[in-house]
Amino acid sequence: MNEPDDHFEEKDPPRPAVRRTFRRLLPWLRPHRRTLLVALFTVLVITACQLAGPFFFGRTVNAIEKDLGMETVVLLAGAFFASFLVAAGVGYAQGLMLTRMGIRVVTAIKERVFGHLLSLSVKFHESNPVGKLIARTEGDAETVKELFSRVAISILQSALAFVATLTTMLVVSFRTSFVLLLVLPVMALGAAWFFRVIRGVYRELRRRFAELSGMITEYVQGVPVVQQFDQKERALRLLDERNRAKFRTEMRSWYLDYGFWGAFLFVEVLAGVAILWFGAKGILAAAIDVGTLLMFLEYTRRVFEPIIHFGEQLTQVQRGLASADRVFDLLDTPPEVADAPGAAEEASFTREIRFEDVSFSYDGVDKVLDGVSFTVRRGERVALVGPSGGGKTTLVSLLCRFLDPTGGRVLLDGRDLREFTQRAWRERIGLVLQEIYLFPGTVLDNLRVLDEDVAPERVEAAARAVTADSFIEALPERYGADLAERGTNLSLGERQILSFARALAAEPDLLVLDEATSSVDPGTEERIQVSLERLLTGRTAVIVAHRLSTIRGADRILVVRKGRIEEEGDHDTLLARGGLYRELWDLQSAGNGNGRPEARP
Amino acid sequence: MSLYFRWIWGYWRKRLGVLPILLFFTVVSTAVAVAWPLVWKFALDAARTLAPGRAEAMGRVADAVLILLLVGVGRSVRNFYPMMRARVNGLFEMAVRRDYFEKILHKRHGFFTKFRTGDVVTRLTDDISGFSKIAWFMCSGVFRAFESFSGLVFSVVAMLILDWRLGLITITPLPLMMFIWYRVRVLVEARFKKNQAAISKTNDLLESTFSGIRIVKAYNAEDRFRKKLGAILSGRVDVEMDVVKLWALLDTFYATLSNLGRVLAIVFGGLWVLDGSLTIGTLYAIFLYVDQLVRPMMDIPQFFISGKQTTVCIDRLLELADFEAGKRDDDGGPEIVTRIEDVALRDVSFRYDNGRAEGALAGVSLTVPRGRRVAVVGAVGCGKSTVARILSGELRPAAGDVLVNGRPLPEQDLPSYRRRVGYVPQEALLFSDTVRENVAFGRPIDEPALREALRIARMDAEVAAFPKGLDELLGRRGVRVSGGQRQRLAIARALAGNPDLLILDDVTAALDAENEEALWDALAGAREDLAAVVVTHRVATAMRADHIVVLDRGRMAGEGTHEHLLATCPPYRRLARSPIP
Repeated sequence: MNEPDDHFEEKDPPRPAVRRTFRRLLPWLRPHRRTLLVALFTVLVITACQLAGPFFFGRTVNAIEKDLGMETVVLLAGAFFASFLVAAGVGYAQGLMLTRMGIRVVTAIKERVFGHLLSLSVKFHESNPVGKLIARTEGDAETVKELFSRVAISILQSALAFVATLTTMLVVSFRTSFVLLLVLPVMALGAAWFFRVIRGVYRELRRRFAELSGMITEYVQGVPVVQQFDQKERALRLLDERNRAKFRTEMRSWYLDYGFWGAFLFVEVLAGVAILWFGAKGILAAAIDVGTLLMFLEYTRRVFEPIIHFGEQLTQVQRGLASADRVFDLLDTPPEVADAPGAAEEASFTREIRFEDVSFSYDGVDKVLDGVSFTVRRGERVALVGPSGGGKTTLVSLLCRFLDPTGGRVLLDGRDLREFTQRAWRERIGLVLQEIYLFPGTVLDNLRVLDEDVAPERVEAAARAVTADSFIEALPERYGADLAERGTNLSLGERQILSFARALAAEPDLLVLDEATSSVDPGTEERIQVSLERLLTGRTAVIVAHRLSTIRGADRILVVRKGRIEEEGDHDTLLARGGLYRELWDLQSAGNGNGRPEARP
Repeated sequence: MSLYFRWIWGYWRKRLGVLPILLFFTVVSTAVAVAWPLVWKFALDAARTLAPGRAEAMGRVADAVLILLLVGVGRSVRNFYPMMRARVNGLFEMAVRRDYFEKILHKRHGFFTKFRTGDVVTRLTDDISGFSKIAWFMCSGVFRAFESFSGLVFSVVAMLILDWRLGLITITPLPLMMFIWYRVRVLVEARFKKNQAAISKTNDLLESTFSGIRIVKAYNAEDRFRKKLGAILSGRVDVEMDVVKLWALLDTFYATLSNLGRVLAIVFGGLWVLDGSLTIGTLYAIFLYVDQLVRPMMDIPQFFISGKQTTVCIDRLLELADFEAGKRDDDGGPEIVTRIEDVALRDVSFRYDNGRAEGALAGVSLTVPRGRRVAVVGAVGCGKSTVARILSGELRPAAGDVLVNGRPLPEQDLPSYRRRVGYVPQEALLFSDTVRENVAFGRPIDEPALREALRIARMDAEVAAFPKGLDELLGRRGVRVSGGQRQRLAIARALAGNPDLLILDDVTAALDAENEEALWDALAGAREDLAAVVVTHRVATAMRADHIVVLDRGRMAGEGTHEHLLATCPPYRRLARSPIP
């Protein structure tokens, strides 16, 4: 629960419309038509070799039986080995070819999915845990790959081998092999039943395992709590429960698995025995010879192989199709914020940005914002304050056009923001978030967000401007130093200051700060304040803050509560007014003696 | 080596009952492996005596059919051997996991700073139950190799007895096969690891991109991130192909070798059949034996590979167990604490294992009597959270005493003390369970008490708004709760046990001013005699306390009332001034 993304559990979509999914998969294969044609040809070659093997084996035995001479025997045995060698060699080449194709296809799919996810709105990302999105781009795509690279062709191969072997046997000697016609349908039905049941069990097993490791994760994280409340016995009991649930399901899968294949194996023996019996009768009636009987015994083994193979592949196919469905589902999600056709590619912020009667609702029912209007003129510093959940963050999202308003307009120099491309407007903004986001990579890459067009000098100047240079210079490789996972090799304050430098390096017309300084202690905050002041000097800024002190110098303060702007004015005006701002101010400054005396509870 | 053997034996010793069953299966399996080709030999030699008009020979074929059916049953029975092994694997899996989970439940704080959760979880799940790892090796690994070895030996013996010349010729490729299979498997392993590294690089990028989507968008970096992924992915093509190539080569190679054996059998066998020194039946039997020998050729080397893997996994478990072995979180004396009258720290010092100064304490003393509220304030890293953790019994001081009711805590029963304490850590931890279970947390607490705790924690209205109220599931399959709600649920959990001492570690950070004030009002009204320790860097919060202790870099910088400290304690003054002018 503390890391909800960790053990994200896959839900299979209700029932993939198989044909539709296949039809959507086909276009991905189009660039690889030639590969597929060659693969198809190899399937034929391999099947032919598979048939030839037992044939030559039988002939060799016959040659021995009938004393046709050593040369014939060696020749036939050589043919037997050659047919195998060809099958093996062609199979090897086919495998590599198809795998390479599968990897290519799936790389293309991954890139498409990733690109699509990047184009989806922040609202989408807020409602979809990161773990799930990674599972879509990486895990599901990998499963689809199996479908392309091996499974489809090997099913074809199995089916072909099965039909060809059976046909050959029936044609060569119907009286010996007709028993297979009786046995096979029964086995096919049994197998169909088995595959259906085992699939359900496997799904349950996956769920049980996810539950088990989820439980362990939580309780390992929660050991201090468990110890505090003296609940170790309970934790162990819970583990036993989850352990046993998984064990039971796993055993059920084994019982089913081995039970079925045990029966299957026995039927194979029955079929072999029947072939022997009728073959012997055939020899008695001079209809076949011993060599043919041996050939048939070999064929009988091979006629069952494709069924076993098919069974293994079927689960893969189903899994692949389910994954493909999830991927397509995602690709079908339309971006909620999209560039209008003919939107302007350049935006300039010369006069003002204006919210005009803006409303917003995530679900169409509850309004997070309700008729908000205000203006930020160029050069101004405007602050948004108010209780949490009041709509401040949504305002920032609208300002950056992560969201489009559901009512009203946001105007840039009088033109609706939607008349510009997202890129055009965002090029004008520098955003600093409360949760400092640094990605693995160098300091330089982080500060210019991978944009190699931004000169290192510009980045360094930005870093100097916000005093980030002091600690960057201390890093072993300075701007080329690698930031570990989310910048954990820097302190919180340093990371915060880096995010200021990043905003500044973008040379923005408008700075947007979302609660940029609420998560540090006073000492660090002081240091950050200095950097912040340097960042803000001479720039237009919209600042969201819990700490009222940080925005005391703002030109205008908007007090946002319950989706509306309740008060607006500068610090002194608002204090004098004695409204919500005054109340918040008093609460926060109670410690320093210049606020309203606090009534002790 | 003997260490691992003893470790594995420790689990086997409790499960010796399954040994006869496993041995029985091994015998059946070997018998079937040896008999199956022999029966075919019998059947074919019988068939060979057939000739048109000699119907009496069918009697021998009928005998052969009966024997074949019998051995066929044996073959199906042998098929249940892996199932039996899987069952024993599963039993070991549960036992090992339980043992080490229990050990972890008793670990002290240092353990959790040393090992990351994800790492511990991997060791408790995948390391134990993954293919060819601990549980698999303990039964399947050992007995599969045993089965294979026994089948191999007896089959080879049977082949040599049937016809030693042909037997020798056909088994020559086998040792080579075993060797190559082992070498390539090791190579595959190495390449596979490289591939895994490439995959985790992809995942790192995906993770950081999706969690930072706002920044990616705000800086118009979508295309640049897509290109970066493209570069990583195209690098992966070759790495992956390397793995696939090896696998495919291996596959082809061993199939070829086994077929080579079969061709040798036919050619030389054929020669000897021609000169009458061999029957067709024997030839076919040896032909079948060669086919049967392929699997053991892989199972035996697999035993060594998974054995090596298992020792690594066992080491990883032992590393968990050996960390501060012999020290338990709840070590203490026999005296049961039934009620906390007062708690005090006397000259307490502490230092974290990482050796850093942050959070360390030197000579800290304070007293919290019943009904009083003490605030501990100071800048980040000054050790104020450490004070809370020592008071809660989570950490033990390196020097100095924790006195409960005037007597040293280590002389008293720690769990009974903890039961009287309500401790809310900085990071509230909840479990994927119902609200009720999270608040009651295994303790016998009735519904009115739960509701009262939720009311005081200012969580009652929100819980009532959940579709299923108290029985709503929290977490991934239930409602998602915000950081503030999580904190308040943790406060409710601490209060539900009706504690004598409440310790709040900076919980107000996640509450805004309004909520914080209301929480304090409710607390003051409900539990007058409650002792409380409040750790905070918000001066407004500290002001409400009866007594304030100021920490500065682990030392006492002053104590007293707000006014007193403002007048006398410079660090406190700095604290009060810093964020708010």
